[in-house]
Amino acid sequence: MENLLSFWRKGSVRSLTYQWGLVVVIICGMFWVYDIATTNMARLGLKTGFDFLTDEAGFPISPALIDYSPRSTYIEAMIVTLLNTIFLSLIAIILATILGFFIAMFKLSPNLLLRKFGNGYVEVFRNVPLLLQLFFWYFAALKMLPMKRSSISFFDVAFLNIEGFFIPLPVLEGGAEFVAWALLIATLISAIIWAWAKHRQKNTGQPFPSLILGAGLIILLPLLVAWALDFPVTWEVPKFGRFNFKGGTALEPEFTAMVFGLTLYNAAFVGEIIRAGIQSVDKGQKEAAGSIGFTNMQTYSQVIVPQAMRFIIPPVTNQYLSLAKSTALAGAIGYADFFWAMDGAIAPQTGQVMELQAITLAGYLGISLFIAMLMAIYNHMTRIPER
Amino acid sequence: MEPILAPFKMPQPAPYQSKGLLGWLRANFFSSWFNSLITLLLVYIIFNLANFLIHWAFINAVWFGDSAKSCPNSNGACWAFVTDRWHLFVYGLYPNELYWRVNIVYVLAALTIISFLYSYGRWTKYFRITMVIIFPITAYIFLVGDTFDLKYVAPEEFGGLLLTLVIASIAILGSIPLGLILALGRTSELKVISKVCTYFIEFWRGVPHIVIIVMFVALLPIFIPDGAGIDVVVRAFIAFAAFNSAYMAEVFRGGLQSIPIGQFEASRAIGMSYWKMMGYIILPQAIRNSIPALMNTCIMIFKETTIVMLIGFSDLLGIIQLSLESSDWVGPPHIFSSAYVFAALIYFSFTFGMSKYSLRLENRSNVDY
Amino acid sequence: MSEKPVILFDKVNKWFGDFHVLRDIDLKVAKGERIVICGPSGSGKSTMIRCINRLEEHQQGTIVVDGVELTDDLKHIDHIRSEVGMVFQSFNLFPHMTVLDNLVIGQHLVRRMPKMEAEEVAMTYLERVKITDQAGKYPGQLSGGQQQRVAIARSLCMKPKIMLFDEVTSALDPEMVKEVLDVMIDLAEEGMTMLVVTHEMGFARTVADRVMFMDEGQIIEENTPDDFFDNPASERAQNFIGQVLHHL
Repeated sequence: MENLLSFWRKGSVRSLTYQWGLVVVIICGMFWVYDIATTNMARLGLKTGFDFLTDEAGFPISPALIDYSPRSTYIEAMIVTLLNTIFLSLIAIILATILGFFIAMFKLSPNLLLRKFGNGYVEVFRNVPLLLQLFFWYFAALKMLPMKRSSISFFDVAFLNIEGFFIPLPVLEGGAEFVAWALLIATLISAIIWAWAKHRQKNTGQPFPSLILGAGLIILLPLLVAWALDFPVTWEVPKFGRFNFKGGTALEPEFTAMVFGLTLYNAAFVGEIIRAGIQSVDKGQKEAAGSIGFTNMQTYSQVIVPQAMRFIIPPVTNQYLSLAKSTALAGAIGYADFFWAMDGAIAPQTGQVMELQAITLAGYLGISLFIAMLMAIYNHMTRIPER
Repeated sequence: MEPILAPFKMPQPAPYQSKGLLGWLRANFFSSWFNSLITLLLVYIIFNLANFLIHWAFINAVWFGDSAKSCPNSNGACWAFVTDRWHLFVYGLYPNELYWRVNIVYVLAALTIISFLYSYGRWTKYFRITMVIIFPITAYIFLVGDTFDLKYVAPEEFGGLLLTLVIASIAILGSIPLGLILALGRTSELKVISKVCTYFIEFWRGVPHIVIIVMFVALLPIFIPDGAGIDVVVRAFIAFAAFNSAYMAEVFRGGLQSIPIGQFEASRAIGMSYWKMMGYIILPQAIRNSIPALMNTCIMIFKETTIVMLIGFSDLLGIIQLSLESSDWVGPPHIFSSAYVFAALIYFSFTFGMSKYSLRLENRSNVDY
Repeated sequence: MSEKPVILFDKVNKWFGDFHVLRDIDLKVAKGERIVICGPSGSGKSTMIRCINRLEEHQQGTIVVDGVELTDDLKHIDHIRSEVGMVFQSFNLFPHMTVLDNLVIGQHLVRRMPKMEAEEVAMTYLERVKITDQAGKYPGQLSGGQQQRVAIARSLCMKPKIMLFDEVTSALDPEMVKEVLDVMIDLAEEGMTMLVVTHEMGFARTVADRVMFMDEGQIIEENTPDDFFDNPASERAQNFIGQVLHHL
């Protein structure tokens, strides 16, 4: 008895028992659940198996970035909607970051009104649920746009109305490849100039306005080539026929509403994160940079922003992740995203909830893991060695 | 050397340009050309915005009516929609004659909130603990009924603000203890427990919440022996508590990690066991440190209740949307926008109130010790 | 004073809101002079020297540094800042750059020196402060005393005409104070114009030409170090020295 008790009191024995105990419980639990599941499924008469994936989908999807028709398979439906989700997320992430940056600048501005405006923006857009904001854009705001006949016209080349934003599509004629080549060459030359300028500055200390020069080149060179070749790139401008627009392409209101809603909502969070990150940098850094004679620009680009990024990147990545997940709400306003396809379109047709759930989970987990991996790489690359 | 002495001078008041109203104005609004320009532009914008809002929300608004025809003009808000249907928004589909039960619960809820808002001297602690205990119990009894001669009301008939508050409350109350346990598990020194908890937490955080809710609603009948018997709404409650526990776990983990390691070492040095150390020393401090992030998560949960709309439940937003599409009220978009503004105001008052309370807690607990 | 003063304060007043932090300050510093400024906390010592490189703005009076008057003109400010070096109590090294980069970046971007040349200059100053072996390390890997010496070297790399020291040893462990003071003594012996805000009386006696005692925003008393510490004339100075010597 004595020996047994002292054996149990050993820390290692206890910890091993708990851990192995947990493993055993989990495995048993999995078996038990599997057993119940199969019994229930047999009882409810649910099919299993993944063969349904190659069946015909039978429903349309719009927008579709790759070829799709109701005769395509379920797998293709899943891929198209997954692409829609990713595309929407990317656009919203970029726009929300840009807008969030401006909101952060407002909140850091010396102007009191601008600061209050920034604060107000964040309070309003952070505190109202995202779904409500999406509904507002889709059912209220965008529905107040005029009918097709009386579209709001932008210089007679783009038209905004209740059925979407009709924009021109570029049409590539004969000499168009040359313009594309010109763009490519201009970009290359700009990159070379930038590298050369950096090298030169390193060796002589003289700065060179490579950014402005590069930007100018990228814009002007293709334009020059296009002019020389008599503008081989034309635009197919939407023209209103009897009932509809011909030519060009249209951004659907579902997509527009999602972009508006996601951007404005997430910009509030991103703006707050950026502002907090910049303010987290020690005040002394700004003073030290000033005391060596750095201009404001140099202080921000060399000292403050690199340090602020450390505070900004982790929470902002979280926010991007949350944005990507919130695209699942798109089905509520009719945008064809991945979740809508899985739950709203395919599930009612095939009834194979288990498999569909598994694929849905895998899809979103994949996106999350990808973003988390990117952040881990960034963290590793920018770590500062400490004692 | 002979010392150079200066006679002592009294402090002078600051010159008027650098302090007081003028100084404040100059610093905040007109500190540079660019700044002044922006000030003028913003004043112009704000003035026009205020003008528009006052006209839209008050002067041109329609306050009473019973159908979409009551609001033909789009230059004024259609508050008639709200005044006509407000009982649906507040009570959902709860039977009319039993509203008094919901009212009692609302009053008790208000009392509970008030008990936490102010200090009442010696009795504060007892007041709060009493409310926290009796409120959930009486709420359940009165809302669902089926005891004490009260008629049974199925959770499916909850709706509107009632359903929103019930989901939020159950989600918060359910996820906090679960989250605490998960956080302790994740920070445990036992590798297996730590890894299992980590994967568990990251799983819930990696998937959209609506997917999880659909998963629970659809799959619970398959995985639980009598799963089909559980009310659909209850399945949603369980789902909410489950995935929010992952966020709560992260909040508590942050709180735990903010405790200096010296606290752990001192407790162990006295000879405390793991659970004694946690219970008496670590957790009280960790929970206090977690309060700001905790409130943030509560706000997030409250806003998230809207997603139950996608599975057909009529929370506040859901029932508003249903009413907007009902035959009486279906109409031009400005009615929709009035309704959404109203909904936004309701949500905003709750979430804004919560964040202000959270700020107050933070400031107070900074002074405490 | 035989030549023009290199720093001139004329009736300088500053307020923080309603608080009159600098009252009618008159100050003349000649080239090569070493001045120690001491006094109780809150007396405005740091504020005064921070006005010299415009980290603080004064509301009344004139400040002239190296012949240039300090006003709102940005070009003047940037120019003055590169001629006036400052070392801070909390070092303020750039944590995301190596020690060498900390010293190089100012020269490279502000003085437009080629990197190679800047690195050579940096190494010479690192030698002066005796830390050449840490050149590739990051500030977080150094001790407090080492970081402060690097901070001094960083300011010196800009070849300033004036060096300002704001309580540079107050945040250091006692055993590291000496290494930093030694560097400052070397600097003084080479003829650098220095304004040092410090509590280190021994340093003042060794190196200072003048000691200024500040209290409540004014320079109450000014004297040579020995005369000041042995015979403080004003009552406030006597109180102050009594309290400070207490633990020396």
